[in-house]
Amino acid sequence: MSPALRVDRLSRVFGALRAVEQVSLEVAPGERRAIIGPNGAGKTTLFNLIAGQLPPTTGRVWLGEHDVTRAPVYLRARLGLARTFQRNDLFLGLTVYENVWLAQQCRLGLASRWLRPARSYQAVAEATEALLDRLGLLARAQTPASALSYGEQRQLEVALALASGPRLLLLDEPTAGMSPAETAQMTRLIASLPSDLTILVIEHDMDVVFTLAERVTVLHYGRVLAEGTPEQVRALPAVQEAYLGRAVQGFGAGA
Amino acid sequence: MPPELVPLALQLLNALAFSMLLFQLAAGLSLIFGLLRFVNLAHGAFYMLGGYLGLALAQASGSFWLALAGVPVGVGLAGLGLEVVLLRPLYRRPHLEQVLLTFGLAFVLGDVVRLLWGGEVRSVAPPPELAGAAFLPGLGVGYPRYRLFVIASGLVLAGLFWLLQARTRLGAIVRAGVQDPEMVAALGIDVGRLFTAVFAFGVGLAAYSGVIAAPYQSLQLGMDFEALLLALIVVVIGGLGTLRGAFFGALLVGTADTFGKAAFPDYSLLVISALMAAVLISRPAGLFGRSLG
Amino acid sequence: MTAVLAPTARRPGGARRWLVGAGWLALALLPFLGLPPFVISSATQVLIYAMVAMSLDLLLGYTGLTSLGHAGFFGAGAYAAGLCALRFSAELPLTMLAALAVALACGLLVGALTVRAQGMQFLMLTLAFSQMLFAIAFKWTWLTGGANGLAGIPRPSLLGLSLADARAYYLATLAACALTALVLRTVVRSPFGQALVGIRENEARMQALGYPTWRYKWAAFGLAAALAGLAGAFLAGFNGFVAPSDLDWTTSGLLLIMAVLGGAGTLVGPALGAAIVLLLQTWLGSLPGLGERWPMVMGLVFMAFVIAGRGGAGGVPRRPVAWGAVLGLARRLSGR
Repeated sequence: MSPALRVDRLSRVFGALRAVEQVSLEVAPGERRAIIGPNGAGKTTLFNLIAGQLPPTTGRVWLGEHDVTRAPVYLRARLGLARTFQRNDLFLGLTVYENVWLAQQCRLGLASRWLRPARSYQAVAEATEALLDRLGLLARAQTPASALSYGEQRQLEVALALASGPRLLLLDEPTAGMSPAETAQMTRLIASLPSDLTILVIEHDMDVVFTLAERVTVLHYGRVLAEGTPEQVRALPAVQEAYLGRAVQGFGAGA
Repeated sequence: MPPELVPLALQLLNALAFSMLLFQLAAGLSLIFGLLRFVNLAHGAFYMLGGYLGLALAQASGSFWLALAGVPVGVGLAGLGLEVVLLRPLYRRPHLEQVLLTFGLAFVLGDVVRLLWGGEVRSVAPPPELAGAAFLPGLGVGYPRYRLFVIASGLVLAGLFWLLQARTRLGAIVRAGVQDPEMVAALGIDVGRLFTAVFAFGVGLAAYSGVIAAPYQSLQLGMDFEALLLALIVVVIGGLGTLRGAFFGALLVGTADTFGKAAFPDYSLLVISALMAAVLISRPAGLFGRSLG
Repeated sequence: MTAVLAPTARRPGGARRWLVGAGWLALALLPFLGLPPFVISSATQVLIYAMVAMSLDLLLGYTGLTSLGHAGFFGAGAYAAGLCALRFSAELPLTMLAALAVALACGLLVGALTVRAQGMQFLMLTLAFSQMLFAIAFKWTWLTGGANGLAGIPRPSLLGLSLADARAYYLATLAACALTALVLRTVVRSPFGQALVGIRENEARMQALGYPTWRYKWAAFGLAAALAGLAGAFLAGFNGFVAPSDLDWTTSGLLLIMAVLGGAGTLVGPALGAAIVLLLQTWLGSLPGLGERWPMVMGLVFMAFVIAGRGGAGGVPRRPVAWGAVLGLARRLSGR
């Protein structure tokens, strides 16, 4: 079976800055992969290349069997890719309900219907409510997204990505800025996602990485530094050096 | 030069003259957009105002050169005042609102001109020093001196702008401001004053091109919108916000229009539209433009 | 799972529907109230511009596309209807069809070239293309009558019945206006309409959700152009002539001012804006010396509105799903 995501020698150069350089990776269907690395390692840029917000300088991207290197953003979404953004990219002027509604009506293929009122499409309404309930946002459904707390906005961000019914989910620092309780809640949510959903997570919180990830890819200065299981990776001196500036004796007893 | 090529050479000169006129017209619009990130829809109105004021000042003082120097400064100062009073309060808002404000302003300015000068067409004679034809040895024929002056003015301005932009600190600041106004502000540079200065300069430039263009084409109502349209086409084709875009866009449009008019007299505007459509299909941001995020 | 939107659910905002219904009824009764003819004429003119302003609102208020060239389609429709009436047939259905077809074609063509552009570029392109239509109207004398325009356009007839009477024409215009309003209201409340709002709010995210946004914008552009053209048909019949100024930037500016003044994003706002602007124009014309200065007055009023924060799509956006959601949630939460 072809990998859910395959990236071949992907590079993105901005003038003299090599944001992403010769990155290759393969993610199997249903795999939980964490992308980690110090700040500026090129993780979000990699997501932008995979999701299509940024065209690569060189290299190729495949979603399943489809070469999407030059495909527009919406086409990749149609092929089952969904992502969250590091800095929330919500519909701030719309309510939580309407935010998710937009994703659901697209997923159900009803977005171009123009005759009947939107609210008469019960399938969309039910799907929207169900998802909001799942994420604990149902009580806030009528609140404008701009009025939500930061944690709730992060939740909505994830809700939007899930609402498109993806096969490949890219989560960009889903727990950033969250309290421990919120982080635990988000981690539980991600862990509870269907096992046939392939997930890539950019994370700084090692607890989350260890709970969720089956495999970890470490990026450093735009290149792949290491790849393996979480235990393998954190024991590597090179990885420790990248994060801490030096290899640490006996490090590996748990984050 | 062989006599058969002379008409072609003359047409090329005409094209160059018109292109330089377009460049001087479009440069201010492109500059204001480049730094302030909105399209000054009153640009054509300032151009028209420049033309009429230029005529008035030249008639009153008897000197075209005084008008050429004085009117841009005067209109630029007016632009400065307008920017501080009307536009500055809007900078926190979506750029669209600034555009709409200039749109209303265009209506007002256009009517002010109509109020002050009425609706008749006025033709403006070039100053005596630039009247008549100069003999071009290479071509063996005469060519209107004034058109040569327009060409010279355009080339000199283009050179000056390039120098300013590429070689001076002010140019670097403006270029940086185009890329990232917030960062420039963080560096301690008064971005507000920079914006005001650039706006005033852009408006003054529009007025300058109005003074220059007056002997070339007469003054009449509706010239503000004709000019704005041409300026828009030039910057759309050349790319918004870049000097190179304004220059080469003007060259392209000016040449297409001149030769288009010669070939299809009634369809020159359609020739330009076809050109614009062709450029847009292949390069949506214009020839030298960056697509804006 | 509880049915979210049971058909028997009472829709909130019932008072509002009564108000709207009363409004239409009043408009329908207007010709029979014994009012002087100029009132009927003015009302007809208001209805025509209300139609165009509403069509512009689909772009401006709902999709977030600020078009400075909308009058191009208004005028194109007027010319098409005028030519049809002059050279072919003055039957209203035919002139309307001619106007719709031509305006739609122009709209789809211009739309294809412009909707992929962002913000400022889109603005400039719409202006540029509409000025090109103006140039065609001005130069192609053989088709459009050139600077003098098309004159002597007969009042259309409906199935043989002449609409020359001001009241009859008013009613025909009212019917078209109601149709336009109905079409727009339907579209705006539909999932497609909700998608347009999404594009206005955050186009990039819409693409990330899987929407081919340019196709939605293109469709909205075409629809708005077609409806503007339809209004143009009634303009041609009303005035009896069409001039190039009917599709130039000043008319586009006027339409924009109507939409913004009335409140973009509400459909009814721009319609009211049309009434306000036209009445203001008439009133100004009656004041000695000021009549000529209406561009300045309009410009100043517009600038004042922009500065006061009502510029652009500052109106409250219509939210088609909002009411249904309220109801569904109320039922759901009360069941816990």
